[in-house]
Amino acid sequence: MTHFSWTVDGSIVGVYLLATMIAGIMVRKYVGKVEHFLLAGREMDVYLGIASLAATEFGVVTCMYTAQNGYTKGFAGATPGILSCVAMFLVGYTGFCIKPLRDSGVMTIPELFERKYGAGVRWLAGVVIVLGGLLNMGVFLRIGGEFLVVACGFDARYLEITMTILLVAVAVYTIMGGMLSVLVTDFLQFVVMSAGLIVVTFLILDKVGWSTMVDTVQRKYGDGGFNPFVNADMGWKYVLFNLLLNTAAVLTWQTSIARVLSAKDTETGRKVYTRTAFFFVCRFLIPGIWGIAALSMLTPELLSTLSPAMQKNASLYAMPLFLGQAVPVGLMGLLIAAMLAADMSTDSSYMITWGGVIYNDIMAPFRKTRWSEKKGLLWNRAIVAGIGIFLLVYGLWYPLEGDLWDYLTLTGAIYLSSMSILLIACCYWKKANNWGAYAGIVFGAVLPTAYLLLDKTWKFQVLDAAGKAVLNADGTPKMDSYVNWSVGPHLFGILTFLLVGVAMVAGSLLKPAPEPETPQSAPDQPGAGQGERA
Amino acid sequence: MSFDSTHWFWWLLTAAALLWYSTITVYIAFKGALDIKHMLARLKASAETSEAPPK
Repeated sequence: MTHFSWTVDGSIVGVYLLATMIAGIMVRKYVGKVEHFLLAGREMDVYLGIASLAATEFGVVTCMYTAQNGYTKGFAGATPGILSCVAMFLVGYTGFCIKPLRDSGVMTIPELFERKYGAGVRWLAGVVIVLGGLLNMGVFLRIGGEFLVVACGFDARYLEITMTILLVAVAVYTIMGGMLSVLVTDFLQFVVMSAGLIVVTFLILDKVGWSTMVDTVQRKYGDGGFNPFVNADMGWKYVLFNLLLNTAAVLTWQTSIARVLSAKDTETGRKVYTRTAFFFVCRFLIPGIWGIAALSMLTPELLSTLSPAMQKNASLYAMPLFLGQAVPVGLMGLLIAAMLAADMSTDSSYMITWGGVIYNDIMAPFRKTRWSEKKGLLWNRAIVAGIGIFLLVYGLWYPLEGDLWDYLTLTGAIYLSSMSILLIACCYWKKANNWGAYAGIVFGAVLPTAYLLLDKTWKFQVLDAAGKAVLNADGTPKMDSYVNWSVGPHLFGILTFLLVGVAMVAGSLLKPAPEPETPQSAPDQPGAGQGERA
Repeated sequence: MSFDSTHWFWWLLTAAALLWYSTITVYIAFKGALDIKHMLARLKASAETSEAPPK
């Protein structure tokens, strides 16, 4: 039995949804060009940028996996947030990569690649970015819906229809107003989301108590619950992989980099990064505390109220189950509005930024002549609608197993490793060329994809020391995959970054030097082969 | 939530996160609204400039 009241909490949620829709749709009249639709006319200032970046980077899915980290790893589970904060602050402070990127005036990272590596690399980079990004966001809807089902006690049969209505609402204002609607609604969503996160965290600290949470983590995980280097599930491989991954995400994650590119100038883009950096600690620590509180308070009897399917992955659903019991009527409305705000801002931003890559880079070869702004806008709107349909279909049938954060990091790694290395080489290595770029993209995409496939298909039955089959909570035999057992996702991720770097360097050095009479339009000459751009 | 000297790092980080996040939310609520107002004004002005007939 949860504390969600349709009269009180439902009204709060309804008012929030109505205000968001009105704000999102109202700004559509300012969209007259593709640049307005994709980058808000590059008119975004610092504080709006901070609100938008923070709202985008915190969805229900974020809340779920960071709380899962707290539940399964204790305070040490917030380590990726600290690493992300350090990476974002240093990149913003130094302008590493983002300064040349914003100075270049491009709309997307692949567009910059074309100047260094040629049109082919731009197109392939666009494909890889979209593939990684869409696979990554494919699980957002279901996880968001499941949060609502568990926290509010909704009937699970209505999960799909609730998700669909929410996505349609987001798609409507995103299709109409593009990045402008995304920025304005992100601002509202940041305020609602932050108010909910802060109030609920203070409530939890008051109800559960700091010492109870610390004692629980100490009892369950020992020193590993506080120190990632001595945690059995983490260690140096986890820390190093997350450092590489978060640095790569800061440099190339489409939703983050879109804020740099939408900023009114380079200095504003850098300020958005330095001033949002600490939010990434909050992003992991606050839901992590919710997860630790769930670990402290939930009894096996309460956990058994989860559906059989959810009990297989109980660590993921423990936090919403706990909140459903702990948050009183009235505050529950604020919490649900906050979570919807988090989810909607993430979905809208993901749709517009990945849609931007599809239009600007993947469709670039099809725009032999310059398209009118009207035609460009029509195509962009159609692409956003298409991404929405993909989200519905993929989000409904993909069966998520295991650790959500590991799924997200692996699908993200499909492009994060290659794009980050290509970007660094593009900005700072004169000898980098298209051979190295192709090699880097192929290694960066194939290795994580192969891991995902092998992890799903190449499995064995887990046996205990006596040779007997280990069983899951529901009595089925416990299975593990050979790649997870022998290498594991973290070492595999580190090796992927390493191999992509080697491929980039080796490929670039292996390419024969151009003949002296080669015209300047060779694809690896900076500024050459720019082709048609939006 | 009295000071925890044993796990001081996580206690301080949690306190800093809550303090910073509470402050920045209020601050951004005001400054962000101004940013939106100015952004829309600039977009409106630029649309009017591009639509104006050549002199």
